[in-house]
Amino acid sequence: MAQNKFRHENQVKAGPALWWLLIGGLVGVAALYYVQLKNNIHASGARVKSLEKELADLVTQDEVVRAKIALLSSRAVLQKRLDEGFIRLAPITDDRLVRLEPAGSGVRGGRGELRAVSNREQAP
Amino acid sequence: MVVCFLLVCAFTVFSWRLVDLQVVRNAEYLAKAMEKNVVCVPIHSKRGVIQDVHGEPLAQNEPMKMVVADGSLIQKHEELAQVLAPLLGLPVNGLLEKLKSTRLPKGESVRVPLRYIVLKKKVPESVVAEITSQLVARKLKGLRFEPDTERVYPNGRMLCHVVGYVNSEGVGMDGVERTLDRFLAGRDGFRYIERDRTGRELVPYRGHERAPLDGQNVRLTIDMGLQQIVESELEAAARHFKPKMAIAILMRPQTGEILALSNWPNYDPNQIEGSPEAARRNRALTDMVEPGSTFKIVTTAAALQQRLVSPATMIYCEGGRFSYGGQVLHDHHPYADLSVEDILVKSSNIGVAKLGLQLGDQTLYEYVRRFGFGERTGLNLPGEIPGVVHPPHRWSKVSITHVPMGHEVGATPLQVVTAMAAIANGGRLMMPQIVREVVDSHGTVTQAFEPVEVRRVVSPQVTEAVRDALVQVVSKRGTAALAKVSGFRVAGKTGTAQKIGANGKYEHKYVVSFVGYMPAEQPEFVGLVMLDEAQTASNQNYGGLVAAPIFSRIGEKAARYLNLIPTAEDPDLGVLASRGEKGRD
Repeated sequence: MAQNKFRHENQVKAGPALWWLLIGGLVGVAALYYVQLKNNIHASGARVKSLEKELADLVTQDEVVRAKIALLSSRAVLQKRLDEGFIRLAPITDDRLVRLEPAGSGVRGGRGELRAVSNREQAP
Repeated sequence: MVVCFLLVCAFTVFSWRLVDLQVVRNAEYLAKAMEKNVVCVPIHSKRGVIQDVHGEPLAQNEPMKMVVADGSLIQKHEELAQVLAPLLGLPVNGLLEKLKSTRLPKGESVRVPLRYIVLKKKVPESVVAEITSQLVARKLKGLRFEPDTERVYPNGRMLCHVVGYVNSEGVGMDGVERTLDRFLAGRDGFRYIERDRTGRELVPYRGHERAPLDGQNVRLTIDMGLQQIVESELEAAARHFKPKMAIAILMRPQTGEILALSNWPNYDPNQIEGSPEAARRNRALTDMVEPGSTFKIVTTAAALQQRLVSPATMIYCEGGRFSYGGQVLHDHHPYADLSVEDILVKSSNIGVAKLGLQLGDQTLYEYVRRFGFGERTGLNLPGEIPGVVHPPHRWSKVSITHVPMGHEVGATPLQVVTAMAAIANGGRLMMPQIVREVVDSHGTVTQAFEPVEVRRVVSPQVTEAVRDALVQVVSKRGTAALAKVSGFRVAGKTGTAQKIGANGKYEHKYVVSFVGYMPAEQPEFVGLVMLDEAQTASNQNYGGLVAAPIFSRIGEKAARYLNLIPTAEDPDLGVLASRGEKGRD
C-alpha cells in the first residue's frame, strides 16, 4: 500500500508542465525574434553604410567633374587653346546680331519700357 | 557528495569571476574596449569658393583622398608597403617604417601599433581606385581613405595677387584667401563610431556626432573679362619694356569697386613652392613710390577748392627755371605764363609749385591727407601700407615746392587710383572694395559689402574744372596724347618720377605712370598703369610715352567689353558731349 501511495505522489502534473513548456517556448521565440531584430539592425546598418559610401562617391565624382570643367573652361586654358590653334574665334555676322535701342535715347525710351529689336543697323 | 561539492565550488568561482568582470571592473574593461573599438572620425568641411562678379570660379576645391593606415589591422606590412610605394610615390623603407609605428599607452608596458597613420594627403581619385583594386586582389587590410581636398586656381597666374593661396593645411596665406579666411574656412564635424575586429564600422553603435559646417563662398568685385584685358596688356608691356615691376588697376569711381588688378611679375598659386618671394608681393598696395606728376591733380584741386585761383588764372612759370630755397626747379619746356588749366595740361613743375606756395604748408598737407594719402585705404587685402606723408613741421624749406608735384610723398598705386577716382566721381573719396558679398552654401547672402564714402574731398564744380584740364592732357596739346581712345574722351594725367637711390640721391631710374578715366563725361572706370624702371631710351622713358599707350589699349578693349557707346568723334575736337549721353546702362 505504502509503495503504491509513494508512486502515486511522483506522477507528473500535466497542467503545470505544459504551462512551463509554453513559457519556455515563448521565451525561446522572443529570443529568436530578438536575434532576428538584431540581425536586421546590423543588415540595415550595413545598407546605410553602403548607401552613404555610394552617395559620397557620387558627390565626389560630381565635384571632380565640376573642377575639371572649371579648369578646362577657365580663361587661362581657353587662351592657351586659342594660342595653340585648337579653338578659334569666329566673327559674329551682322545677321546674327540683335540691336536694342539704347534706353533713354529714344522719344519714349525710359527704363523698363519695351524697346524695338532689329537685326539691322540703324541709319546714322 | 564530493562531486557536488566540487561543482558548487566551480560555479562559485565562475560566478565570482562573472561578477568581477561585469560589475567590479566594469569601468576598466569598458574603457579598454572603447579604446580598442571606438574611434572619433573627423568629417571634413569644404572650403568656400571664390568667384568673380559674374560667378566665374577663381578658387575652388578638387576632391582628393587622404590615405590612412590602421597599424592594429595590418598583417602583412612588407607586402602592403611594396604595393603602396609605387602608387603613392613614396620609398618602400619609409613607408614600412610608418606602417610599423607604435605607441606606449598610458600605464602600460607594452607598445601597441598606431591606429591612425597618415601615409599621404591629396591623393587623386584615380590612384585611390588603383590602390583599392590591389588591396582587394591581395586581400590586404588596414588601409582606409578619408576625404581630402586640394585648392585649385583654374586661372593660374591670372589675378594671383588678389585671390592668394592656402598652405598645406588649407589655411589662407595671402590675398582674399587670407583676409576672408574666417568666411571661407568651414568647421569640421566628427562622429564617434565603433568598429568590429576587422575594422568595419558597426553602424548601429554610432555615437555622438556633429555635422560639418561648410565654408561660405566669396564673390569679388573683379570682372574677369576686364582682368584678362588688363593682364594681357600688362604682360605684353612687360615683355616689351622688361620693367622691374608693372601694375595696372581698374576701379569703378562711383563705388570704389576694383574691377581689375594686376601685378607683374606674378606667380602660379597652384605651384606656390616654386614661386619666388618677390613675385608674390601685391605691389599695388605693399610698395610705395613717389607719384610724380599724377599728384598735381591734388594740388590743383586744392587751389581751386580754396578759391585761390580759377582755371583761367594765369601763373608765371619763370621761363622754365625757378629758384626757391636755394634750389632750382625746372620745367621740361620753358613756359612764361600758363593758366591753371594749362599747368596740368603741360605738367608744369614750376606752375604747380607756385600753387603750392599759395596754398601754404598746412592747407596743402590737409588736402593731401583728405585725398587719402598717408593712410591705408582699407582694401580687404593683406599687407597694405599707408605710404608716407610727412607733417609740415618735418618739411624742409623746399618741401612746399616739391610736395605739390608729387615728390617727398610716398604713395601706393592704389592710393593714386583712389585719388583720381575722387576727381572722376565728383569729389567723393571712396573706400576701394574688392569683395562684393559673402554667400552661404544655400545661396543666401550673409554679408554684403556696400560702397563706403570716406569723405567729400572737393566740390563737384572743382572736379569738373580739373576734368576739363585732364581731358586736354589727353590731346595733342597735353602730355598724354597717346592715351586717347577712339570715340571716347579720356581724362588723365601722366607721371614720371625719378627714383632715389640708396645714397639718398636721385638716380637715372624712373617710375612712369598714367592714371585716367573714361568716358570723361560719365566715367565707367578709372585706370592706372605704372611701370618701374622700364627698359627704354632715356628720352622715351616718360609716362606719356610708356604708360599712356598701354592705358589706351586697355581702355579701347574695356570699352568694347563694357559695350560703351562712343561719345566723341575725336578728343581733340570740340566741347564735351552732353552729360546725359551715358555710355552704358
